[in-house]
Amino acid sequence: MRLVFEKMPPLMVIGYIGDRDFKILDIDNNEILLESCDLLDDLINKGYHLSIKIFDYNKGEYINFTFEQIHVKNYEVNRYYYIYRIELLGENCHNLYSVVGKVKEIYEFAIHNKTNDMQKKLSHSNLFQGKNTYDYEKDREMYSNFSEQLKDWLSINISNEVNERFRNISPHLELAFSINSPRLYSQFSQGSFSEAIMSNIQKLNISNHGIFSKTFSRVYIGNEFCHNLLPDTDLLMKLFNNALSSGYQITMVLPYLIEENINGIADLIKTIEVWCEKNNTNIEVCINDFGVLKLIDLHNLHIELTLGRLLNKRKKDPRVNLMSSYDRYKQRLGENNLNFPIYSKFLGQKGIKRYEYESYFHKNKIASGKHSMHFPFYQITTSTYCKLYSECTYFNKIKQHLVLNCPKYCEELCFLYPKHLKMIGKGNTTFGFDDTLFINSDMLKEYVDEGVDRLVLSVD
Amino acid sequence: MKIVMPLSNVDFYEPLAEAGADEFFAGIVPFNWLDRYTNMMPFNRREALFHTANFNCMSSLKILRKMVEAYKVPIKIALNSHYYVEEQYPLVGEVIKELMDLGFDTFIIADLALLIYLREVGIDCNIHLSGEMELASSLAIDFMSQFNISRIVFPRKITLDGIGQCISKSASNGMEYEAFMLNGFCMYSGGFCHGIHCDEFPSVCSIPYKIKPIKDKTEKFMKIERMVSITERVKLNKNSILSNNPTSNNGKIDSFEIADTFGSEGCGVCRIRTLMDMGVTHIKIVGRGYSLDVLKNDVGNIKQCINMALEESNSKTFEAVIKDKYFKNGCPNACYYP
Repeated sequence: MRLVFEKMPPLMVIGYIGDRDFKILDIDNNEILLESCDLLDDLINKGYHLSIKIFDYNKGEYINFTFEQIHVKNYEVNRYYYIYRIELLGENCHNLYSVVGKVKEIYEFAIHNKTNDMQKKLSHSNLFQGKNTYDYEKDREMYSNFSEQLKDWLSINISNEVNERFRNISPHLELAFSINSPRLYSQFSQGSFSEAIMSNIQKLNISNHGIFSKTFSRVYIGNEFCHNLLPDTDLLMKLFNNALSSGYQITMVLPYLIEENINGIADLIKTIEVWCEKNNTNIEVCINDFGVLKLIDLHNLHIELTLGRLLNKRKKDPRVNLMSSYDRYKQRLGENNLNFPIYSKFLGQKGIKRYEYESYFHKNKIASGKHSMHFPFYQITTSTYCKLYSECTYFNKIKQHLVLNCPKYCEELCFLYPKHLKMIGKGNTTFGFDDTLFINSDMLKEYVDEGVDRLVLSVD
Repeated sequence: MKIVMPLSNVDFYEPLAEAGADEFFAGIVPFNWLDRYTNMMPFNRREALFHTANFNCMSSLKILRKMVEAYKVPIKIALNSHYYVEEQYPLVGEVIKELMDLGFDTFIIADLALLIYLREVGIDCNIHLSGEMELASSLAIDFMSQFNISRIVFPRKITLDGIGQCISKSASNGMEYEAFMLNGFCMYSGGFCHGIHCDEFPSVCSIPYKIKPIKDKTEKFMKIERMVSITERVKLNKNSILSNNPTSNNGKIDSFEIADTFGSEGCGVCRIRTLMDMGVTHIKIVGRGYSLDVLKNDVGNIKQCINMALEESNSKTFEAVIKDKYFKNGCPNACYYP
């Protein structure tokens, strides 16, 4: 195995004498081996205590063992450091060993198992005792197709009372519909926007939800996650003109920038700028790459910028609650660098005041200002080299390369994941599904109070 | 062209420096960070607790400082989490200052907010922009150049043409460019991956899946759907046979668990000459937390390849020579520069 495991994993066991930290190499019976840059005489002669901090996986925190009495048995001298063998004295030793024993299990498992096997077996060990661990057995249960999966996810049962509460919140929100796939580009370019929106939400059996008591008034056109899923200029103009004539506000959505798509995106932006000027109308442009700022005239009064989801970074793994320290930190997980005033000020100077958030399994800490919330899908991971393309072309997910002329396998095929994870893979991106904004009106009200003034619905 | 090696153990410095490393990158997670945040809010992108990917104390960094003085092979420090939260920026700043006092003055950063913060508070360290920033275009690099950066690390997924264009269009004189070369090929783009990479459960890219139709059935891609389904069944049967017969040579068709050989986890070796011609100054071997034997083997091979590239100016010839020398049975699937 390539990975190195040590008897005392460095991030799980740390030693201190006074306020000087040390790497602990081993703890065996009542002896520790530690590695020190300098001789320890000065610290020991001054009578500083030795502390050992060990990560207690069960508690999800570090516990401290302090030894007031130690005995330096010997030390070895290396060209660059010293290895000290120190005897621990006192009653704390027994408590220490019970925790150390669990930590050493990691090393034992690692040297006898490959990594994935090790994770599986470790989940049944004493170290993980009493903790919720990943249920590998549930990985076998999958849906047979996405439609069945989505139907199950959207089997939302809320009382009339809760639905009424959503209805009451809805007036405070602008509703936007995301037109983000070839299927939707085609549908919306050919017919009435309001009919297309209605047909999509009716198909999903959510049209009676209180959130949708207000009319949609904005469309997001484009795709944040794949450079091959942007409409070409002609199609874009059809969609823009349709939106304008139907009275919808527009947010143009752009993905990451690669050298190969710079010219295409530059042309799109020029086209948009000309269209805005001609129609004397304003639109938003949602950016997912700061390089795009080099293509947009920031003084153009017709264009407002919003910060896309690829630049609104946070941990969005649906299994995060299995981490040992989850309970201690879950309240903090909704926060990120957009809550840092220095950063939001910088973004504001670049003309970016609105941020695109996603409803996911944690409450977002919304930055000050007015912002959007996407639902019910949230992005987990994206690849600029499409995994679905590799699977369908080479039957090998690792054989990846940049695709520019894409047959768009994602129009008909997707990755289905185990039911218990509520994930779906579309083309180059894996999404999670979150129904919070369908079932928790209190959460929606909190978001509205904190500055969310727009909801963006994705159906594809 | 210089080789940038991962470092996660003080005892690896000397043998790797002697084997040909020109620069190291390392991570440290101080205890006061671990105590407050554990790996729930990671200090850098190596979020594991169980295996040795990071240093854990300033004592280790002081030892490394002595080694750097002896060998002159510098070490840069990875501070490449995608983001931090407001209260953490001053803490990160303090750690950077402490490391600078120790003599470590170069940091790999992936959070634009951190970059802005450091420049605003006057911490004038050298900054390499991490591959996690997904700077895959000349425009993105141009945007970032306002922050006094000394090196761009290209993302894992960028074409050769893209690298060439980024370097040739760059207005920054004296900028260094680093490209991924070996190991650590990712299913996804690191900068766009919001999954967790701890050791308590498999990463997102390891979760099993099936490729299925979106609706009840496919129309345009019916044949593809059938082929994919057959391939999945073949893989399943093969894995079932292998798991019942552990002495077999392991190998899912498309898994990294095929042989653990040079390049098997990600390779761009045959493109070294091309990257040299384009102006790439540094190539990166991934492997914080890897064993010394693997890393020594890797750096030794890469060193040889660079020497060969210096003697062979024709990139096509160089490519053929490398493939013949190292990959007679075919290239690894995980190719960085296909």
